[in-house]
Amino acid sequence: MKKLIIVLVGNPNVGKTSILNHLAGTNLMIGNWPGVTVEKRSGKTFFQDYELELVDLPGIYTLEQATSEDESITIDYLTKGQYDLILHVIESPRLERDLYLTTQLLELKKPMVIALNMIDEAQALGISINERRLSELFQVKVVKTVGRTGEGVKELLPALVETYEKKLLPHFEILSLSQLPGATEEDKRLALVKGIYAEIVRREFFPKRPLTEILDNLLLHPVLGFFFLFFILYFTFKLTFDLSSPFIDFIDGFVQDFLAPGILTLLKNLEVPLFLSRLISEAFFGGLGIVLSFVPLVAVIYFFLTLLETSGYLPRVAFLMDRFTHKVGLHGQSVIPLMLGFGCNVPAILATRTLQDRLDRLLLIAMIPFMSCSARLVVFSFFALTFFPYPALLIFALYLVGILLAFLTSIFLRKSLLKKELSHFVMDLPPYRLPSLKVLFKIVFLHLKNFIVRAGTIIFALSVLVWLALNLPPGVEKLEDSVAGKVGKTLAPLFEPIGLGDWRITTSLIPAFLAREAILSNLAVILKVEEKEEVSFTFEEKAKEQVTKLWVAVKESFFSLFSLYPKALLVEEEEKGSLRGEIKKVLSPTSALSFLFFILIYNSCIATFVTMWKEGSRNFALGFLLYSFLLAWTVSFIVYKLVS
Amino acid sequence: MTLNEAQCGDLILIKEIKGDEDILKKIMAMGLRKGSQFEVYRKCGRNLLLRNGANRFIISNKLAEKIEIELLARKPENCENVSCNLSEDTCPKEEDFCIPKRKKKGWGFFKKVYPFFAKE
Repeated sequence: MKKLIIVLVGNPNVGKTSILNHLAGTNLMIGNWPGVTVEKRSGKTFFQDYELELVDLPGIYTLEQATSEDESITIDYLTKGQYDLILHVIESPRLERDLYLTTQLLELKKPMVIALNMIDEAQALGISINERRLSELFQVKVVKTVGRTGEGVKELLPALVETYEKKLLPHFEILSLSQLPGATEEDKRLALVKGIYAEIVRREFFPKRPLTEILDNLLLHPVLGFFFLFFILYFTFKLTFDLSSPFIDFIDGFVQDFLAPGILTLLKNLEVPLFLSRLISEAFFGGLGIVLSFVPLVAVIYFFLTLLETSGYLPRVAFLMDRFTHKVGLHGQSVIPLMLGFGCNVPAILATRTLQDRLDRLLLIAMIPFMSCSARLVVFSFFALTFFPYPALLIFALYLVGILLAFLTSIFLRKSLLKKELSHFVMDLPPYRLPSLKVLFKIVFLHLKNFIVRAGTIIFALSVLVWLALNLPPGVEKLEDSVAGKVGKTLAPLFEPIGLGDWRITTSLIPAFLAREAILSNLAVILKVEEKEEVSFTFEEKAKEQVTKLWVAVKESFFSLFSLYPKALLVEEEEKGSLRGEIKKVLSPTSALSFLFFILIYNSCIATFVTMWKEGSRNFALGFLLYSFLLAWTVSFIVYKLVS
Repeated sequence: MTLNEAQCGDLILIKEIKGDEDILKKIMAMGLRKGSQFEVYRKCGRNLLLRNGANRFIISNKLAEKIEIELLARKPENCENVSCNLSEDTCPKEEDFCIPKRKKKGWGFFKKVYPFFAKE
């Protein structure tokens, strides 16, 4: 079987991924281009005696010079890469714009097939394209397609194979035929594009107002536009967290209450040594639980982000918000990841992928951990209610401090490490489109797979390490004798100046690296308020309990659609009266305030750290960890000294 | 006349794109080309939103300065209900962004205490 490498090239938002999805089916993959964080989509299909490998190159307008990282990838691949054919995807309603790139692709002297995509939209606008004439002029095969439904896509395969077998080269001399004395290369190209467009396109007058115009009048309205923006962002936030949180709780409970104890009972019955049994059931399956608990959240956030992007609304958010955000050196699109950060920092960092410029992305990633996530809210509420007379006011102030520090960090980075002029803003607004749900779900699934493979594996490994720190040496009974306890005691003098010199507090911060809300349960164990209970495990009883819990999760998720307030921000006040009393013995109100500021600022979350690593770089994530620690320590120190 | 001088509702014709910068070539490839007609659909903050049929572009004022245009028609009535002034009246000057510009304080105090702060 012969292998052919085909590159999909076209302007951004012309439907390349939809075509790739229809061609590759289940063999579609999402990854990153080597050495960069630009997304790579590829797939393969089989036709006749050929294995066709399809590579979706990032969208580009011109091959002259790259102005961003993803454009560089496309230009490098097209000029230096090894491939056999070009599948040039054109957005039919905007043919004249796309032909400019077509004339440049001709000059690569590579076999090429043109897909006139979104032909249904062109027809709806009264545009009819003579594809035969286009084929004659460029001497390439032209196929009309509709990426959304897959119409005509399969006809591309025989066209590609035939072009390759007959070694059909496009009519690249067409540019030199231009008879414009004294004209520049660019003028000749533009004249050629205009001429070809006039030759192959016939337009009918349609009195109907296109949907994009009607929607833009509302969604880009200088006053109403912000109302709709707020509405859309609010519901994106609400649905992202409310739809996923019941399932996160279910997965957490399933692993902690069913899978881990079940495995432990099984291993005990098989007479496996206790330490090994606990390592497998608590560390391995516990780590797996942490990774799996992110699955609903990542799936829902990718669903909404892809929906906003493919529907054409995301670039409009950039236009509306850029009026304000550019004054602090941020791109208009930054509001979405920042807002998501209040729910959970992990999907917020993943959402920065909608920004094209790497420096803009890194800047935004460095701001997100300062947005107080719902896990921190649990800790804030507990401490604020335990120690302070006006808890709501204190929590609000902590949120504001987080936002302030995020912006100060952005200003600092913009003027130092991520220096860049935010002067050029140029963007093409695609028309509004109803995305295909099949393609949408496929993209979500691929992103999810990519997240589990790239970030999940490291989160899993680190969570096993934390478990080992808490349970080594084997057979340790008291936490203070464990590696974590010793580390906590060693670190205690470092935290003394900020009022947190008690080893029990510093030790509680170590497992909190797995999940911030775990601080409370860790403190409860350390302060011996709660003893870990040995509960007998009955498989049938527990299985029934899990089925009931799954049903409750489905119901909760469904009914959350009907409430206006985001449930993710509601904190259930648990009965922790005895813990409050014990904590009051360990911490003074001043130390508690210092502790809250430390939790607010320090990036103490394994999943956030790993996602920063994977979306930025390892050094960036480590550098930020150090920066957030130093900043947290300094602010806590100032607060502690000022208040005391 | 350059594009940044156009008003919301203006119908314009692109005459020349001045300069050789890569970003200008990209703009041209995006469809903002010599000889094309556009309507200034919105003018908000530092950006202009232009439209021509199905094409819509956002371009910042700094880039718009490099595009020479011919004004074909001025139709402010097209922008009566969608002018960004509706939300920007409270912020008359873009630079000030609603906050009155504070007079920058010098390092007078420090200069007195630490004379080496003073510039030559």
